[in-house]
Amino acid sequence: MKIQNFAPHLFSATMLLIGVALVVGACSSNTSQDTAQSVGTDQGRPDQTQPKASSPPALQLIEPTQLEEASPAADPVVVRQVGLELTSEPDSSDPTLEEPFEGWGEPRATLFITGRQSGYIEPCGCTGLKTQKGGLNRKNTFITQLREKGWNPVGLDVGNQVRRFGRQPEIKFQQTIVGFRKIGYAAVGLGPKDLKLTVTELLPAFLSPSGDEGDKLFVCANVDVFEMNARYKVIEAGGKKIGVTAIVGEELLKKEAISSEIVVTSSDAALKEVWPKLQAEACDMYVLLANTSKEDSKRLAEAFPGFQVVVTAGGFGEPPYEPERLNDNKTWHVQVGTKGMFVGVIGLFDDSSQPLRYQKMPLDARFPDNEAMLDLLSDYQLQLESQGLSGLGIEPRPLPTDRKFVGSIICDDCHSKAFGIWKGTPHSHALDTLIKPPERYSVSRHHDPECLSCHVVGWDPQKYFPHKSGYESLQSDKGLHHVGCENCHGPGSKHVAAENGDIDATDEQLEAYRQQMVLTYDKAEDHCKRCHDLDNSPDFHEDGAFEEYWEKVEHVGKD
Amino acid sequence: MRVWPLVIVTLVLGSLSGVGMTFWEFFRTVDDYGLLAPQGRHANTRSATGDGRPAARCVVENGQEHDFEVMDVKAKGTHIFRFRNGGGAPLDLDAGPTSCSCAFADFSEKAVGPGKATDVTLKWEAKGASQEFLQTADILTNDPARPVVRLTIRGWITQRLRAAPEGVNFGGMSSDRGAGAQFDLFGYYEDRFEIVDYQWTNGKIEEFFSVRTEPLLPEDIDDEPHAKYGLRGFVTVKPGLPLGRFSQTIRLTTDLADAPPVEVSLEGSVTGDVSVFASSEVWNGRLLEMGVVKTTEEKRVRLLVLVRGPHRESFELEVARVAPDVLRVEVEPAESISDLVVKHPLVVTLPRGSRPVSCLGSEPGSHGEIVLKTNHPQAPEIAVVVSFAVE
Repeated sequence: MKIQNFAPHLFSATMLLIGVALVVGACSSNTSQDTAQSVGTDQGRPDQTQPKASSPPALQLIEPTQLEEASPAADPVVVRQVGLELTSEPDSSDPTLEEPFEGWGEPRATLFITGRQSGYIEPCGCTGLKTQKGGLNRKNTFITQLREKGWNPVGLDVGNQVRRFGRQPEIKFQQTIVGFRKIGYAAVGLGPKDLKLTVTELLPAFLSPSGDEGDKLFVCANVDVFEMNARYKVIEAGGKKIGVTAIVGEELLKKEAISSEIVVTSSDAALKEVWPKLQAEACDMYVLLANTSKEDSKRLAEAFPGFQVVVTAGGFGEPPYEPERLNDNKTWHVQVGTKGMFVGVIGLFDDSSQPLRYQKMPLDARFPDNEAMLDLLSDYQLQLESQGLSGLGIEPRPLPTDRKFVGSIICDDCHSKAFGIWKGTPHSHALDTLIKPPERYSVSRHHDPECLSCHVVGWDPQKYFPHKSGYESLQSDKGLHHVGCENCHGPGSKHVAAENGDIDATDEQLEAYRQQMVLTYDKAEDHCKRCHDLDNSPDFHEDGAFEEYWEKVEHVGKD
Repeated sequence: MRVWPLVIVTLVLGSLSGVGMTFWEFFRTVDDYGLLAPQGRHANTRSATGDGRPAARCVVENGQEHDFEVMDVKAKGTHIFRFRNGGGAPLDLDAGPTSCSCAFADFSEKAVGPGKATDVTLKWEAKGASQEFLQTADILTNDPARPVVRLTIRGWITQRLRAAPEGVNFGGMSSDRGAGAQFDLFGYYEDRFEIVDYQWTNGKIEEFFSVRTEPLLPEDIDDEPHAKYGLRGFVTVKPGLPLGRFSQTIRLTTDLADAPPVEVSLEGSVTGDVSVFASSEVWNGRLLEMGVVKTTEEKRVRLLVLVRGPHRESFELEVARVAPDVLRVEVEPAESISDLVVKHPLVVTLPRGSRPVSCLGSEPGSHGEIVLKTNHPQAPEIAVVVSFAVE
């Protein structure tokens, strides 16, 4: 247990002092002085060489004020509504979101902190935008709203825009950075997954469209990508100077095969070198974007206590309601969550009693879409289309067996009842939902391997590549369109050939080929979850959900 | 002397209020992060102290954290947390946020009478193997001291075999030089295994790839949590691959019964020693898109020519031809940006006052073009296609 609140102690101390003052006054004619303790000065900052009079006042971090008994108005994490357009109910299980930004007033500037997008340029999954969080669209809408409020948002991202490597992640990385520039991000860190991409494809994202080599979006103190990233940046917003630097954890980089042309040094040594330069800029606050584990970023926060805010790419799941306090409450340790689903907003105030405030904000459906990012998403899909599968480095791979896909229409010849049941399910028009999506319908996705893999026949759903004889394009056999029979039952070529007499098959072989095509109930759930995974189909994982879904698709026997 | 009663009253009042507030402070709950638990709509309307009325008191009898140690990636986990009401008023429980959609809480009873207990079952499903698993689920209560109880489950998700990394990126390779990479194959259930077969899935470029394996040293196996055995694979890519991207996969079959093959992706890009770049907003790898510019405006775009290989220090380039002539190209001084790479910046400008022209490529051959002449033996000429219009 900790004593977190100075107020009661201050009050009693004051009362005691008044009493002492009166005693002294009664005994002598000397006047007394208030010696209230100051909080959060330069104490703890390394290498403070400037005389106190000439250095800017350090920001003071204080504990949340004491709560009154059970009153939401007094709750420091329940905030005032600032007129954000709500298109859906806020997350009612998170009490801080019933009225975000309550008590904030007008910050001089705000830090708009994101990270770990991990490839989710759109909200995680495809089960309806209303139930999902994240994406560039909502980042843009939210930051625009803050800008219109006059809150001077400063966009900072800790890195890891993608999670895979290959041509599609490279395009996605480039589009993300185009998006970040349009959104107006001030500084973007690097993550191990970003650095895994081919250097020749990383560099175009590093280059500023203005051609101004001084205009560097990427920041990293211990990684050098052809001198095209800054080692630190000083950003001015709302009259505040914010010094920002970033690191990538060496332990994380060891696990990734990155190009030898990218120069990596120790994060500690790099920060030792960069910190004096940042400090010489005499900023009002200092931020470290640490793309490393939570433990390592805490270690760095303690080793370099001059940073008031340390943003970590570590941690699991949702970020906590409030940042963790380190260094005797002088440093805020901020988590960003996963899949870019959250923004951490830190308000900078001139209030010495509360110079910083924090609001965790989910990027949910309260933030409507905007044209700029819809255009960007559309452009991304057009790039995938122009590349085609071969341009994306995707070659159909041989199946582990010698069977091939034949298409669902062939199955209808003998299994018309099952085919009829299938026609009544959403599986039978799964590809149509990519060509004309029910939401964000202006952006077709039928050239996107990450979408195709679960909407057509013959693809590996988790590795985003087709098998030979599987769907390749709209020009493929119509029987390969949509989630067809063979998605569940496997390639049917041997079975069909044997039944049609196209190959010689004994009775035993005929029966064996039939049995190969059977998907039993006990094996089905695991099989279904290859597409209905947690990211894309969370409802499928609730208790009893599989049994309910099974009833809609079940069909037994030949006919 | 009348001051003294005032002094005494002040001292007593100050001391009492300080002690009282500090005493009350000890009943506040903080979570693992040292944060105050939020109040919100589940904030208590009855005080544990002060008004004398009884309050609910939430106690998790078997601890708030469960370590399942090791679990297979396909398994689902459950653990029962026993919640008891140690207070004098009914205890209400409700599900709060979880750290992921992979974990959720199930309640046998959501209202617990004084002295009674109930089970809260946490269920989870792991995604991704060979990694630490740590997730939380918040349980909301009407205990004034503990409005949020955070349950934590942790452990390690494993699977039978895993390649690390699962994909190798060779980055940019020169066409006349090969490359090598390695990966580790870990086994988590068996004490030993071996590779009995392997297959290259991209037959078109199979001839450029070779692989060999050897057992991992015990200390390398020890570095991988919960691994029992491992092999190290060495992949070699021979020179001669055509320019451009390549993608290959090696599919390894082991002697473990019923174990599916393990695949390792190999990707990279074969580049010549000379590469051209610009911002991804204007450059798609083949075409420089300057867009439509008004005749009263100027547009500048920076191109970078990066030179690697043995000729990088002596490399020179000059502008041989620019079409149409409205385009201006200026070569800036070269700069070594690492021991391996030299950059040659170029600035392409459409100056203010340029005559109207359309080079948007609406007809074949109607793009603009910049041709650079170099002294590189393999790249004596570099052509950059430019799309633009001046109106």
